[in-house]
Amino acid sequence: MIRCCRLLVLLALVAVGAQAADEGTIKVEKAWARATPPTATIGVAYFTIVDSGKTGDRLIGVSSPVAGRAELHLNLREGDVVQMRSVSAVEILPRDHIELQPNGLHVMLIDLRQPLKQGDHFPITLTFERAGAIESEVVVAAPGARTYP
Amino acid sequence: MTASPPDPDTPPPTRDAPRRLWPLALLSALLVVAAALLSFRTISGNWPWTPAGSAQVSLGGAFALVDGDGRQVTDQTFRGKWLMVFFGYTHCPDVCPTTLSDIAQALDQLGPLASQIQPLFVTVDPERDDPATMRDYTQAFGTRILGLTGSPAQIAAIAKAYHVYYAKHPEGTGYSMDHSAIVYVMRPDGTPAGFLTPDIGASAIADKLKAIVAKG
Repeated sequence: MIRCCRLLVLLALVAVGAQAADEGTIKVEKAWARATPPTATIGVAYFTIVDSGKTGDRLIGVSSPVAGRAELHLNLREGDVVQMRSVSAVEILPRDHIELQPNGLHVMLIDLRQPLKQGDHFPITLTFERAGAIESEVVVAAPGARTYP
Repeated sequence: MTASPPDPDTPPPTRDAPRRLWPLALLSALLVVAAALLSFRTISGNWPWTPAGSAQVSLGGAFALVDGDGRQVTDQTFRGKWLMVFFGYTHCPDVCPTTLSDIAQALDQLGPLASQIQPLFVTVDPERDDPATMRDYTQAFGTRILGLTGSPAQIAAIAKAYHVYYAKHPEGTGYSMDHSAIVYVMRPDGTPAGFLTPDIGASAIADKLKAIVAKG
């Protein structure tokens, strides 16, 4: 009787462990933003998403307490003309590594509640379709920074 | 046009006609290819930039704008300096800061030559970009770059003079601006000297500026 229960507990733990391993496959790393002028109402943030899992996911939302809203945008170039377009979701493939960087995909922080000063930190929350909400800390770099400081 | 029955008095087309046309078709094809090659060469070459004193295409010219302190400036204000004229807006979080940063760094790399070059960042969004906003924005990248704004009519005039496309793109409750992203380099006398695309990076921008200024 006791052996049977121990076996069941062991199996349950393995099942839970496997489930947890599946859920923890998305990591958000190297989140950074650019410092803004004192009167700016918009800012930008970038980050890297690493998915070590097998099923993939979709990034469907971004938010931060420093801004009224945050949106994913992409820069497009058509000949000599640059365009900025909002992006509703970012597909993340299994074992994917997506790095947001200048002149490409980025997060636009709209209606900033405070200027972003170099050296500051603030939280950002990324919402994924499967993984749910993942919070990360953003470090503020120089106004013209090109990479994570 | 409606089809009409064949006219009994008109002779039917002869079988020889198509064969006689092929040399003409070949000649036409050769002419089309030659024209295409010639036009490609001029677009990818230095056209429309020509030696000083003989501009083939009208670019640049008179403009009247407002600087970050609310003062009126015109093209005459900058005579005697090489100019880098480029366009953007302050609600542009990614490309414009990258461009301003690269241009500022490029000038830092030029040493004494930089004092002869004045970069002008002109807004295509005069509704939101007033003088103080332009000043705050450009000063985040140092003191070299001058931000300019003006009335919608003044902005339209300089955009036309520099062949710059710009348009509002509505997004939710706000908008972004689509705009040309070329940097025009103008000689101290106001004539066009060259151009560059800012996405080549600071060092490449510095090299191009040196080359353009050296040509005179």
